[in-house]
Amino acid sequence: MSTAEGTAPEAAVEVLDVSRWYGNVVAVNGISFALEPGVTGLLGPNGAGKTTLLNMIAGFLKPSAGEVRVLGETAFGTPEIYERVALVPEREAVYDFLTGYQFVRLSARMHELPDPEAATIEALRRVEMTSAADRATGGYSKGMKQRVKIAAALVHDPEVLLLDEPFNGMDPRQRLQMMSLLGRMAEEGRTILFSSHILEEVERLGENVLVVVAGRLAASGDFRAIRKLMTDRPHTFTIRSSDNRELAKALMAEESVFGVELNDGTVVVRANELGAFASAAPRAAQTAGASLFEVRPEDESLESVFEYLVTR
Amino acid sequence: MTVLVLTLTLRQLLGQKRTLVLAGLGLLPLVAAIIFRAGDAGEEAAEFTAQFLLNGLIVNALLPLTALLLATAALGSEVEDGTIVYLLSKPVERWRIVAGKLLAAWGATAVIVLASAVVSGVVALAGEGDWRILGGFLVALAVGSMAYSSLFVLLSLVTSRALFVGLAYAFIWEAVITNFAPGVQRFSIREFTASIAEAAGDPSPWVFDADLGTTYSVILIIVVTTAAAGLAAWRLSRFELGEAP
Repeated sequence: MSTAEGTAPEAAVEVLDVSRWYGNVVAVNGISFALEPGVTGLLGPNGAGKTTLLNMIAGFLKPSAGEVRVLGETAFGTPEIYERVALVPEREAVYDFLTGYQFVRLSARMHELPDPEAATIEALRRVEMTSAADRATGGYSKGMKQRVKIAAALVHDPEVLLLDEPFNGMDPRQRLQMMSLLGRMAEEGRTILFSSHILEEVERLGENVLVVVAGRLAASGDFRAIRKLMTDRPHTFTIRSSDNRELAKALMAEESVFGVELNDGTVVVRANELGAFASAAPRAAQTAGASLFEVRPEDESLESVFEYLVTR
Repeated sequence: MTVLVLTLTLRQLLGQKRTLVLAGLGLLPLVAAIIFRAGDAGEEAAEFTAQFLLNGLIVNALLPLTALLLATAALGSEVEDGTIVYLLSKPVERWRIVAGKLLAAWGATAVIVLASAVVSGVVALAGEGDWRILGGFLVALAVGSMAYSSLFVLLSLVTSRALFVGLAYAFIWEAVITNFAPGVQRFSIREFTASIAEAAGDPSPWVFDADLGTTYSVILIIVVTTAAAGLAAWRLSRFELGEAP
């Protein structure tokens, strides 16, 4: 993955200063990036614009400004790209009256594959849905629907695979299995972009990550660097101890601490780094001769982490 | 490709409650015919069949209602529940998808209205009237089904309130406004259908007399059908998917 400035001409997906608005509401705001083969995670809280962005890359939405190119073609209004591109939508709906096998075969036939039956069987095998293939999809669990949707997307062996919240509804074993499948597909040279609002999913699968918050690209690049940014941000903790005043004094001497406030029965501490504070807190308690009753991190929601990335 | 979409859509329509309800409504003209025959039908069988049964109940009410509900279910419901993505994410010309949807909506509509017309017409006319009028209406209903289906498939691609707009067209514009402003009849699929029924069945004027000329109606119904189908294909090629925030 690279940012727009360093876009290589062979990038499978190029998003060039793309915005999309609905009336007065801006869903995606001036985003640029390029994707090369491999797995990339599109991370962001719900409502950040991930689905809008994926739909624009998949050619289902026209950017209000900017351009999306997939495999060298303008994504919107070019059905030919679907010979090499596939999307697994977030919405659960499938044709409930079709069996899993019929649903995937429909996809194979619409792609006019030379042997749709063989391609269907192979795609169902890859997502471990062979045993349930003859049941109507209407009776499937959420995870099964998700897997059969992925099978239908894989059936024509696409070079670019876009997945919108693909792990929703899957149990942990299915999740791992699907992650390893996507990992293998990436090793085969495919470009895979999946969205998620769950940090751990992206951490496990995507070496590269795009963080989208409120329609903007908040961060992009190697996941480890972004993870570090997230953990190294300022943190606030509320502490209860046997001697708050002495503890506050001792904490102020710690390098990682840049603010201490004595409240009614608690000490509120602002620290630079999570790791450094983890060792500073017990050390300060020992110096102060105080017992720690509770150390509670404040505002650790994913939204606040994303918020920090945008405003840093 | 069109055949794949057609068979998929027919299976979708067959599984829907609205199709069953419409099939049930299709029996109402039969009930009317039975009641008519139970009375002293006499020589009025042809007039009753043409004017009340075939034109009044089937062309004016059952046909537009069936076409509207099935055409909007054929494409509109896929847009609504999001399954349209499985058709749009294929390297298939959009007109082929529209053609499959349109043929399915037309086929299902035609089966319901033609079956209703045949069954009720046979009961009403048996041993009494001129069969040509029934033949004329069958031809007209097949053609009218196509025109309405085309128009309503297009509607389901341009508005999320296709059902409401379609009802307003069929039961306010065509049914009410044409009575007060006769010029408006020239823009009414039901009038085109009635005119074709008259031309194809060639009944005596006192049995059935349509308001519009045949040539005009045939040309207009072809124009409406092809223009609506073409616009629907164009609209689908520019169709945008995705949830607004």
